[in-house]
Amino acid sequence: MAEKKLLLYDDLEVGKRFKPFVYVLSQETIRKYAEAVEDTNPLYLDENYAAKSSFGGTIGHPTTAAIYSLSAIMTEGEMPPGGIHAKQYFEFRTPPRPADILTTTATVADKYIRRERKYVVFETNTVNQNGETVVVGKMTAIWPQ
Amino acid sequence: MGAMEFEKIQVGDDLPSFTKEISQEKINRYADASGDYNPLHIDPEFAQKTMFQGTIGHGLMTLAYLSEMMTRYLGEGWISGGNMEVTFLAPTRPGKSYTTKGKVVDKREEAGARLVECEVWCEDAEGNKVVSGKTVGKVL
Repeated sequence: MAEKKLLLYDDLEVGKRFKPFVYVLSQETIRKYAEAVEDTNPLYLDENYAAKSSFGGTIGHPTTAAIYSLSAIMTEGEMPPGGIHAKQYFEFRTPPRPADILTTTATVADKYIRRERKYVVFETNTVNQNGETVVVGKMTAIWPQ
Repeated sequence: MGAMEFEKIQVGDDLPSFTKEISQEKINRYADASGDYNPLHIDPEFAQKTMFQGTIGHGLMTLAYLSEMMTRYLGEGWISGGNMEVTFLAPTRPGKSYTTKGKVVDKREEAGARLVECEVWCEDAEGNKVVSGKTVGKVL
């Protein structure tokens, strides 16, 4: 397998649309994520409890968007090591569910240099297999190279 | 976990607050769960040579704590219909504790939906903010 190249600041053109990232969310990932962020709300983990909720079954944390939003900007190259997250916007439209096929498309919305630091702004849009928007995101990162 | 009644919500209300302790083990676990293996978080030797002089927690892990606070406050109205905009002000560090806090700053009806707007933040034990921002959620 060819090694992915590094995505350098100069490679990122405003308007660039990344190849979409397709991700299948499993109940196992939901569980791992719940343990990692220490949020074990039964809506995410307890099928019996969640079945009686308005969601009708377990759902993923809204912020599992972190998983697919980040991967969506790395479909064509790796982020150079040492990137710093400066800002994040998320709009949660409908929760992700186990077995959902989530497609996230990222674009470079802006880039600028301020106080000698390179900033890149990415917009992401995630839809499920029914075409419903799951989450919309906007991430501002300090790009290391 | 019941949703707050819209009428009872007052500007100035505090959101449910809680504290999380960060450790390198938790940061590593988050890296596995999220797929973010930026060495800044998990490689002490790499991180030592950066401006942070040591590993730091993922910003999105702290953001998950803020989302948890909003879920505790609004339930489904956050999960399906919330939005958040935050700035990461300072890194979280293994071995330190961080408390999520928030306050209601506005409540309004917009396009037939009842909305609550909050200021949210996480602070360390000394009261220094590591992340702060704004959330808007629905009251269902």
